Amino acid sequence: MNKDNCVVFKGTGKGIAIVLSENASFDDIKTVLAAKIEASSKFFEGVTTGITLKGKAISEDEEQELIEIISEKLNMNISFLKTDTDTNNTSAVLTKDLKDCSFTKYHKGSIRSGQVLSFEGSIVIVGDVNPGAVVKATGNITVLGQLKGIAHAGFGGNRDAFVAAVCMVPVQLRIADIITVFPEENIKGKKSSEFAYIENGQIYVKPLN
Amino acid sequence: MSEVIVITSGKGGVGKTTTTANLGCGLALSGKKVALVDADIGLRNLDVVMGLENRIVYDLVDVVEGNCRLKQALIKDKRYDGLFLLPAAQTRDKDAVTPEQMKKLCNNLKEEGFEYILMDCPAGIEQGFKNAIAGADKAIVVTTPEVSAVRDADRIIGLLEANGLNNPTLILNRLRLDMVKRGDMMTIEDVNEILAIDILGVVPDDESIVVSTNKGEPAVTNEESKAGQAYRNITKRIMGEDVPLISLEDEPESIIEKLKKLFRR
Repeated sequence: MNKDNCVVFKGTGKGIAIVLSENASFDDIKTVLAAKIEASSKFFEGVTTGITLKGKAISEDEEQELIEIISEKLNMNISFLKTDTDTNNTSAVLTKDLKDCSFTKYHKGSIRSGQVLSFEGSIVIVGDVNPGAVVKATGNITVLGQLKGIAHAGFGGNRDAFVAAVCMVPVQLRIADIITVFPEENIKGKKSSEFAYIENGQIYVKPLN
Repeated sequence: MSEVIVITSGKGGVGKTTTTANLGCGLALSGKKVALVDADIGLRNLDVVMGLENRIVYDLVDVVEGNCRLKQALIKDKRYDGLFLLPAAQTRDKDAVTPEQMKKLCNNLKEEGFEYILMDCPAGIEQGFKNAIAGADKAIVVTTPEVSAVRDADRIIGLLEANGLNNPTLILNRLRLDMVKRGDMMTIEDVNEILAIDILGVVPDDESIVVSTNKGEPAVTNEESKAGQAYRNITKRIMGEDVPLISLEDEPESIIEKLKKLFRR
């Protein structure tokens, strides 16, 4: 196997994915990564971007080593870093295994009627989602405020996605291909922090505490 | 100092035109030089509310198309010296002007020395709305305490912010205290919970508005009208004074009414 192929750079639109070959040794990966980065240092200069490590499962120490190589050779600001190979990253609050998403968009401020916020990845909204507004994410949706509009998590078919809100009173809730309408009494009654997920083809809503 | 304030709502019939007329009169009453611009081309009625319909010779579209000078189209109010109206064209539609032309018009009005230019925005979010907000520095959103009006106001606030008009203020129009007390109407807090913007004023529902609108005499001049008082307070707030929201409590009940209530129980 050509050693050069054990590290591959991929642009994902929201950052750079570095795919590490499953069969290559860690030492090979290190040398190839260093060489490749050196060759393309001009290209990355001064850029702020996110980096995702994919493919071969590596330990935290190894991950740290790779990051050191990257930051040493490059005059680049890394805005976030995510390892896709890490599978034990589910929230302790949630009993169900939830697929973690590579990218999360933070939105500060309220989404008003008629506005649509959509993102390939997860969305965290620091503010309210007003009635008539739509939030769509291929991953999870978290609202640190009132969710009164429509939230569509797992857009595109990810049934492992969830919706969480400090105040869960949506007009309609959608996860993947399942749509549910909130009962009236739930909307008028006390408003509590809840999260919604799919189990056995149905959307369940449970309190967060 | 000169600023263009657009008065908008999204939904029709919530009181944009009435508000524009009253605020314009209120500001002129305080000695300011004010221009009212009716941006509702094709459905003009600010002139009717102001009682100036019979004086129209040229209109906004004539100015934009260069058929007349701006000064020729401005109608001087019959009551106040500093108050002028630029009427909309009735025979044309919203596509007769472009946002760029409106921007230019606003700048020309500023050069004329007007301290406040109030833009009466048409209902809806289409061309007319885009025209009206094009030259605006500030926005006032009018809504009534109904879910439909509040929903549209929310949409409008979103669109205003998308167009760089941040921090619009809110006028809550036609609030009926008796209904609020009974729990049949949205309260100020209910509205504020959804819209979450600064409240410029609350105008109580008042029959005298209908009377004064039909007569072409804005209620702000009527000392006895509660709505008029509310509008006077709002004008003060626009001018930068700090006035508390008017108490919407009714006058103390008379003894007879208290007795009536007792018997009803």
